[in-house]
Amino acid sequence: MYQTVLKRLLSLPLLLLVLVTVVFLMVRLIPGDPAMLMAGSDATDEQIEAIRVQMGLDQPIWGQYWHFIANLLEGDLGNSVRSGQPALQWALQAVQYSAVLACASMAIALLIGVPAGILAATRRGTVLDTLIVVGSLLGVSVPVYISALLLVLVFGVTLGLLPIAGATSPAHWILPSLSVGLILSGELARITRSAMLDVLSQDYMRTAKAKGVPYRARIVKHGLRNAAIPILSVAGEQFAHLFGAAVLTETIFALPGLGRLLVNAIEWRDYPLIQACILVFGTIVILVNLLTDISYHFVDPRLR
Amino acid sequence: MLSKTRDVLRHPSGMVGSILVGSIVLAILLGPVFYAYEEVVSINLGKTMLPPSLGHPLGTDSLGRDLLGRILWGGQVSLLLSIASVGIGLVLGTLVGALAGYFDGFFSGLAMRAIDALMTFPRMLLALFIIVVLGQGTASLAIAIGLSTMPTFARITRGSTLSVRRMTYVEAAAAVGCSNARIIFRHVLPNIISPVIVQATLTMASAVILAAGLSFLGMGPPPPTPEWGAMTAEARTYLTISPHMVLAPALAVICLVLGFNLLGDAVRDTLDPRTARLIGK
Repeated sequence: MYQTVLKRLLSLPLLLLVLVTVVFLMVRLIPGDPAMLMAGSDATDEQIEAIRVQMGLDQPIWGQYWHFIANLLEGDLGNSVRSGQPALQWALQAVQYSAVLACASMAIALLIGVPAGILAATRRGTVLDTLIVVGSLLGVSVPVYISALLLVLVFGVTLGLLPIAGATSPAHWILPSLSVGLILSGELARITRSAMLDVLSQDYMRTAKAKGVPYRARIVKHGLRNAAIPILSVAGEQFAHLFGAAVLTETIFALPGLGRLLVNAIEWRDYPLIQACILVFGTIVILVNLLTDISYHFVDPRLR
Repeated sequence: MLSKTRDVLRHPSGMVGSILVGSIVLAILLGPVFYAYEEVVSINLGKTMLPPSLGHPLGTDSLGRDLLGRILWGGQVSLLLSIASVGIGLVLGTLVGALAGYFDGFFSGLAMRAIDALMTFPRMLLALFIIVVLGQGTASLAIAIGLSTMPTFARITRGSTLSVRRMTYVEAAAAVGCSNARIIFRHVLPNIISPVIVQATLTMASAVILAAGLSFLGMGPPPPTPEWGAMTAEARTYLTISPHMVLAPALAVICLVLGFNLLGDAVRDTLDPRTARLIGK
């Protein structure tokens, strides 16, 4: 077990290096002159030249790459063109909001999706099962931006119960995390239901019933634990994808998170900031995947 | 093939799905009959935000354009975008996957590792990344969504190719002197097409979601081109006073995605019983 975990840990620096290289090449891949694009149409030649020098675009590419990595190791990705702030620090500040949003949404998705899936599987063929199946199908079919707007309409505008913009109090987090969490719970309920149905038909479930294991213990200990791997892998994938959905929710709810920062940075053509955002996003995705992979080994003894 | 199509249509969710998708596609195709493109893009400040009436079944938007007309024309953009992007992802992914599966070696292993790493990235972020590199616009949006769906196709095709590569008929084809290209295109690909079709149908659903989401963020076709996501974004400001302006394009997206999801489930149950069984259907 430790060997596989160690192997995955060792691949981490390599993955991060690939990510850094892609982020470095990104600005160089853009057709045209990035300095000119950043400066805007009404910039003078001196301004363009200044940006070029600031970003090191006047040097040969290997030198640029070396500088990029050396600077990155010191936590310096250049300054945002828009505000002059250090780009990486800005992104790291924003990611905290996204992380809170992601954790809250994931908690909601798990709390709704897994029990719903178990209920549907154990009461297969009943009205409840049909309701859950239809509900989860809606969950996979409604885009996040629409669920967010519907929640704003119902709870923010019509009922006036909850704040709909900003992040100044805990109540501000309810609607954003619900809008993503509800959507994700659909997919989770689907996978939990099918994994549980698979497990429930196994011989050991009948054995457990025959030897008198109480219903709840049977479902949780014999059922859920064996269905955990597919659920976990979907949840892990979702957690990484949450940071993609954050782009939409943060824009709608005016949360100063990483997703909104990335969209703004793209609109501003603020390349150092775009690079910082993508680097932070990428690192998170890589780390989350690593943790998911490792967690399999703790949940499933067969993998040890 | 015909009997398979019939099976899909008889499948309960296939029936509902094909009715949904079919009627939306029909409505989108008929759109230009009732509304001229000029009519849905030209601003008419005398008739802004009218409530639904006989002349304007869904009312008008904040710039006085007929909402139903814009939804029908916008559907064309959304549908074409999704078809184009799934096409890009399917062709590239199948090619990469088939090559990596057929020439199984060090480089294909490396390529698949890269594809596995790409698959773990949120499609939304991958697409945004590609848009940054290619610049904003309808074409780059299609390419971005297409490339972000490519890894899934590559992985599925590679897995299936690996499983048929050692089949006797492939060996026989090689023995009678078929070139590698001929074996891949005439013997391998036709035999592994089922899982690819299943994936393509399901990917249509997520492509519609992704296209609408990116347009919502302003990464899609520039105004005044109607597009469902962009229309929702424009109407957002008026959520309090006329929510139907937000709800109408939103409902269109939901119905189309729901249709493709249902259709995808049915196609999977019909063409790919093995996976269908694996996921407990």
